[in-house]
Amino acid sequence: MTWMRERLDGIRRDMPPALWVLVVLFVVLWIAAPGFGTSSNLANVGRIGAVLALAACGQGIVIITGGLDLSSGSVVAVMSVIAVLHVQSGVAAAFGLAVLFALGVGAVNGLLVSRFDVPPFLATLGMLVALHGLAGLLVGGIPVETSPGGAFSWPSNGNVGPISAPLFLALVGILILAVLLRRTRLGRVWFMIGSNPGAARVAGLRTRWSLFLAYVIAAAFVSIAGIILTSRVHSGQQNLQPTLAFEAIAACAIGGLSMSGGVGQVSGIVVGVLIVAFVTNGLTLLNVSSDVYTISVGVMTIGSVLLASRRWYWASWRPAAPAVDVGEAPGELS
Amino acid sequence: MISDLRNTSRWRAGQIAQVAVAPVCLAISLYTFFWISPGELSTNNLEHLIGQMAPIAIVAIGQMVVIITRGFDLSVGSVAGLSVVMTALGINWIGPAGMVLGPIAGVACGLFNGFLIGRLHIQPVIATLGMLSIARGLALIFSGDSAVVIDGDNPLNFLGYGHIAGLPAAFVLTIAVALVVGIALARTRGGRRVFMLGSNPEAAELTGVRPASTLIAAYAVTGLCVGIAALVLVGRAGAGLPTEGQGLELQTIAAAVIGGVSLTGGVGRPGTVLMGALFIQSLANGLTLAGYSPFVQEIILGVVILIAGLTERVIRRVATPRRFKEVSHA
Repeated sequence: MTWMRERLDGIRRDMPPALWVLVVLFVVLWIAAPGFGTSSNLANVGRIGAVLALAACGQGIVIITGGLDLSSGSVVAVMSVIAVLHVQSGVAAAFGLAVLFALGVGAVNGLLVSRFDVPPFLATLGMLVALHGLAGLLVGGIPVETSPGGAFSWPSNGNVGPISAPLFLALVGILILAVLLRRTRLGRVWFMIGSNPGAARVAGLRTRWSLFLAYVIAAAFVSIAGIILTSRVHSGQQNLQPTLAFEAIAACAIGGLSMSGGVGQVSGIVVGVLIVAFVTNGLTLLNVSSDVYTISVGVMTIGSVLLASRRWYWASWRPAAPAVDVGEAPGELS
Repeated sequence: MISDLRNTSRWRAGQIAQVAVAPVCLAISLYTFFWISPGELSTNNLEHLIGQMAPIAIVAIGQMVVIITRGFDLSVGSVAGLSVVMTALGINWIGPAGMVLGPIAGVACGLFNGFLIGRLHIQPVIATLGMLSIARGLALIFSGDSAVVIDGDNPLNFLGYGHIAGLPAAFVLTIAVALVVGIALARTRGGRRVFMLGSNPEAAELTGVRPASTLIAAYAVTGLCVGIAALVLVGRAGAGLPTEGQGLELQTIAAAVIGGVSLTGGVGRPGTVLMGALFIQSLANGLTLAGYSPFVQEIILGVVILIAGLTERVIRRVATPRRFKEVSHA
């Protein structure tokens, strides 16, 4: 039985401490919030959490490189407008154009940060403001509607086997992120850029190119979230989900990603997303007023990072392999 | 080493570039709008402009103080909303003296931000983002989701519309705030500590600067500036609107960065920040006069922020002597 205990011990050590917060939260909500445990509500949490999960995957990549992407809230808004305005030329074309636009924004962000050394905070902040204006300009301030149904509604309402389409897309996204971060050279370079940009450059890595790719791939994740959101509301709106970037940052911070870069695990991001989704859902079920809800979001953001920055919070966590270990990296790096 | 760096012509060129960006931007925008609509440059309009820029300018001065410490404050817009509500409520509760509640609320929010950042070591972006939600929620709760109208005469009316020696009172207040903050930064021990902490946190700590208290003080000054700006806003509106100040954080960060304040810390001059604020306000006024929608204004503000980021990088490039480049850009 020793091997089993060792195995369990290994699993326990690999889990981020936020997992215990998640378990406690789950139990508390199950008892306190009416209707939380019903399967329809949990499926609902899955749908809402899927968008956040995809946004957090993108955000996670950028945070691991030591940056920040504030622009995703406006990116999804412009995406919804583009998709709805082009829906008569086919659903695939509409979503394709929207995704292309998101990738373009990611490329501009990446260029500004990697090639022109603009601080990520400033570059993506400018993008957030400019694209919010662009979305408003394109629709003239009033949401443009389109008829729901058919392929347009699949990303939000469809099913893949037993699970809903958004959840499926999110799971695929999480899997891709895990492979990217743990099994590819690019992923290792992101960690190195985040933990020591100077060393990464001196070691001969193509830091600028990898940083550029980080923003483009992050935008790809956000674009899938944008498609799900657009499909759900089947309209083009300036204020689709303006706080998406902030919620994603909160989820990443709860999941143990260091805001200064170089540290992070996919399991942490998943747990962080679930915590944010459960709290959001719980507050809705408990019927708090929108003012209190606004305050709670702020308290949750600060509180989660505060919790994650305490040393005792991590005391029980000894991951089997540190997030960045040159010895573990593929051979061509060393 | 330092004197070595400072004697290069590149360093001097960088210094000039830092000071020059704001006036150049301002001149271009004023000239363009004069060209589009000749009415823009009339004395009347200019007087209106310098009065109108007061809230942005005063908050931008506060924003400068925290950017010098390598931070920034994303919560200023929401805190302004909370402050105007508290100012109006204070006047309604205790009479004119109650207006101090606004600045007190601002300072309280600033102290809390500073405590989170300085003492608990939370990144400025997270702490002030959280405060952004909290302050807006509090403003909405205290005001009961609607404007708090001041009963009877508005004691702050003079600040909104009055004149001192032919200049708008709000403008005189702006200059006063800029002077006080500027002198405090340049001539007092606390002010020099703010600069030291921003240019080299490790060295500052080793020489005995306490980062926690310096940061708390810096964010409190920002909160105070927001509270003072709230007085002007109430003077103008005659009421406390809980939604006041949305987007103020972007405008003030843009004003500060255009005014030559470096996001990498340790650099900032109140005079050029004022010019940056004037540029942002002239942009808004000019675009409105020229008949552009608010969406276009938003796009242009975003692009201005991007350009400001690019200029900062150019300045850094220019100011870094060639042989230090390898190190500084690693």
